[in-house]
Amino acid sequence: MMSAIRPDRLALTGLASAALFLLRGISGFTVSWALLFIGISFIEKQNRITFISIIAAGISLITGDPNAGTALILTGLLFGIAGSDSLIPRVVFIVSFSVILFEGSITGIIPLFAASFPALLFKREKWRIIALAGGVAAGLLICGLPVASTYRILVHDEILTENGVIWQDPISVNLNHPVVMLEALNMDSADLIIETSAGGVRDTCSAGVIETGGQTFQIMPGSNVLRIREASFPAVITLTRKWQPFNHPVIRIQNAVATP
Amino acid sequence: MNIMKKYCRDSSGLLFHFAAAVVIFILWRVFGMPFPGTLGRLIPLSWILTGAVYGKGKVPELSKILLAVHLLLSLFWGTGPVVEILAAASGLMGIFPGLLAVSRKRAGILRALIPLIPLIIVLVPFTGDEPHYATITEGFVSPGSGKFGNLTHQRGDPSASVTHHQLLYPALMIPGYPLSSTGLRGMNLLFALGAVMLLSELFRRKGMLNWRYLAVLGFLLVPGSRVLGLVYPGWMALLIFIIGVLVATDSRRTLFTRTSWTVVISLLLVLIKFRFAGMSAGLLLALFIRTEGKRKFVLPIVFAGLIILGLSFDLFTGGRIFWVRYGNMDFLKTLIIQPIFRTPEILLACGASLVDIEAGLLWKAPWILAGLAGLPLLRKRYSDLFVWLGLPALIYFLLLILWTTHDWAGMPTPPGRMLLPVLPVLLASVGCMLREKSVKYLIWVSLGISAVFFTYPHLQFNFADGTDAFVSAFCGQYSNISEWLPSAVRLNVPVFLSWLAAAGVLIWMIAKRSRFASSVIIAIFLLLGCLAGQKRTAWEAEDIPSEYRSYCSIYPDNPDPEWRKFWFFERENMLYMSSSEDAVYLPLPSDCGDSVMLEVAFRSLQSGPIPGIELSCGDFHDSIYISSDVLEKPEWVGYFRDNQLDKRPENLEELHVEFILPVDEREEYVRISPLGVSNTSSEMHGIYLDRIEFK
Repeated sequence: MMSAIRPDRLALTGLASAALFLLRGISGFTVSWALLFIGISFIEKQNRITFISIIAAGISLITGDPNAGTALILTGLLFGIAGSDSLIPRVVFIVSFSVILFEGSITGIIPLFAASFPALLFKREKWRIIALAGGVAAGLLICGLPVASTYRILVHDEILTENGVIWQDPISVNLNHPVVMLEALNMDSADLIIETSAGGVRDTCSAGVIETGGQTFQIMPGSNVLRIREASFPAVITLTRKWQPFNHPVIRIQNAVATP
Repeated sequence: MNIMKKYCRDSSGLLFHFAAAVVIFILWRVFGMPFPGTLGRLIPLSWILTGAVYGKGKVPELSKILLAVHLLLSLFWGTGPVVEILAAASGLMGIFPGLLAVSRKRAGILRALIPLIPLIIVLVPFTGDEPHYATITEGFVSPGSGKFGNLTHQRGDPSASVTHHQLLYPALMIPGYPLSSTGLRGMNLLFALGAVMLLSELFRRKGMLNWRYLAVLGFLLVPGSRVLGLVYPGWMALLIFIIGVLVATDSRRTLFTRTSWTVVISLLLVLIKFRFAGMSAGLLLALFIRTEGKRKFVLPIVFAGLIILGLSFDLFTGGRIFWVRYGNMDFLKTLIIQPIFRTPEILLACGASLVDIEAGLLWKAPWILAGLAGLPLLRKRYSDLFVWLGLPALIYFLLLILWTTHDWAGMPTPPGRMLLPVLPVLLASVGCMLREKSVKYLIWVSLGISAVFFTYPHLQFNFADGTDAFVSAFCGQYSNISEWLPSAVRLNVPVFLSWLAAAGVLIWMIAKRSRFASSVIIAIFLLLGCLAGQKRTAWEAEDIPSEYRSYCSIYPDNPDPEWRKFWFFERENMLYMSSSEDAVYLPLPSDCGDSVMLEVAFRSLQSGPIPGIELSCGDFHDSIYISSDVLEKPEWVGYFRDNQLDKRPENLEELHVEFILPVDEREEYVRISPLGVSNTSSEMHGIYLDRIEFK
């Protein structure tokens, strides 16, 4: 049976989707967002679960990070699939999911997508939740933790002094922003000293690397001071550890100094 | 077996919270979430403590949903820092339904506070005026031991060795001193607990139905939650104030007793902090209004006599007891001069208290809309509460704004700290509106924001520079959202007025119980989201990400707003370009065609060769050499100081120059760099960029 849609919800959904396409253009993100919102408006008995979906949809628009925005849409539509009693909204949510999958900004969600099909068919909320939880578990086992497929590289704030360039504020790299760049314009070659603390791993292998002008240096767990002669810029610090249960890999760059 | 089953059924809430703690603890590690040693332990601990205080009862339905939100967001934490923040905050928020349910039980208010204590003690940094107050407390117990550092001189102190802070509040914290900062936080938690318990007693006496629930909301919502356990006198003042209201509204007592108590309480409030004099005045005014018969006209004479007595005492003690920061004469002069010469700024500060992105309550506590909407109903149903809680709050607020104008929020301390005295009246007011669906939504969104602040307390510190830490964490440096958010520091009049109007409309709709209120709130939120995602075409220079600039520095180099307190024109930071290496590289808008027009707002300080600014795009460039004049000081400043303004960037006229540059197809960036800055070591010489806008 076709779900009824209230006029105010219809107006809100239409306006929100139109505004989104007008102001942001058509993309995988905007289409999946509009579908999520259409799905929510089709849910007859709005409850706390759909309220969570609306909040997730709202925050996904506000956030400036497109990967995080997509993850929030995904959260919203998984809640929608679990919480909606009628079939139509669940179908719309799955179409939205497929757009996210096609767009490819988040990796490791195929098992979850597969699990959402049986969830589509179950009438009882409990079974839908179990199916989705199974998808989460299968995803973790098969593909690992869902992460962004591309990242914006963080460029660390540099300060020019009489003796060279310094990066004085601490900055961390972890799985959700795994690359930091140290830039020193017009400085072709310099001695670079970087103070790092790395950890969150359960072995003594390197946590990440520093790449500068074709040279690569390992960052070992614990507190270290690396001195690199004739470093060239940009110097790129990358967390090389991937997700593993019971590991929380992190590299903290306490400070760095480059002297010509 | 049956006993076991019965226990499980009766204590399902307790068992659920314990089981949730275990699940969160394990999955935090399985997912590899950051901060396993702090948040990864503290959040499960808060669930265990909630279970322990929850006792018998069913599982709160909303807790289950919030636990699911937490687990799902934890799964996606690797997609970005925003999801990581939301995951942790939703993990904590899951205990809130339990805490609100606990409030209805015996000693419910105390029990609701316990699960939050470890988070507050461990996570909140000991900063701002906190060490200062702690040092004064130390001065009573163990002078000079230096556990909290030495007492530093602050602007406006009577002398280098005497602080402008009143001594009563630090003295009341002495019992906590042996336990260092934890002890002092503990004392403040006790003050807050006392205040909230008495507030709930006041609500009960006046016949409100949800008196305990409202009291616990006071703990959990901004502004209350942000000052919870912090070494600031807000909750202490509220405790004393509520005692005053309880006694003064007790009809069993004689007028003499009620008047005596009100006078004593008013005096105590001033002795806690002079800022609370507005509450004292409000209490006395409420007593006058609510007293019936001719006897009430004796009260103004009594009050006037007391003020004269206080001032005489002050004269006798050499101004030490009732010393106002910057001196009593300056204080009185300020109160007279501000409304005459700075009316627009005072109106701006009033509006900012609601909508300003850094300090306004709308963004940190949207429930305030419901609080304001419920005031007419509060007046109708509980006029006693309306007068006794509302008048002191109003007079306090007006005095605060009149005295401190743009500095009313006391940044960088947590948002809403200065507005704690308005919490009781707004809580009472929202208590009249709790059945409304839109009000419920606003309360739960506000609780979510509080949960973010509890888990990431550093997001609450703003520096009165137009950039909000909370918004920055959610939207990042590249978002266009700051162009559409109201800021008193970076004032954009149409945007600011639009938000005030939107807030007004929403308050009106909630007050009228419109069924479309929720839809309008969602629509505004979504529209903001759509606008935030547009390509950026304007940049506040000091916010330009490192990716788009080489070197340059922020002026002033200290982010503390205290450094900009006496800037008379604008209080924004600026991007200082003082060497030929300094440059900004902004991405060209995708639709710019074969030429681009930019408006650059900057100040040019000449202290050597005339400085200039150059814009280039590929082989094309355009430049201008120019220096800014020093502005005349505003008229009102003349009443406080005679000297002329120094030649400093903040006192210079801002220049707005438009550049048109041809654009080569291959070029992606416009470069902005200073000229006339080589081979000069003159201090402050150079270009101070304010804003760049693609037209």
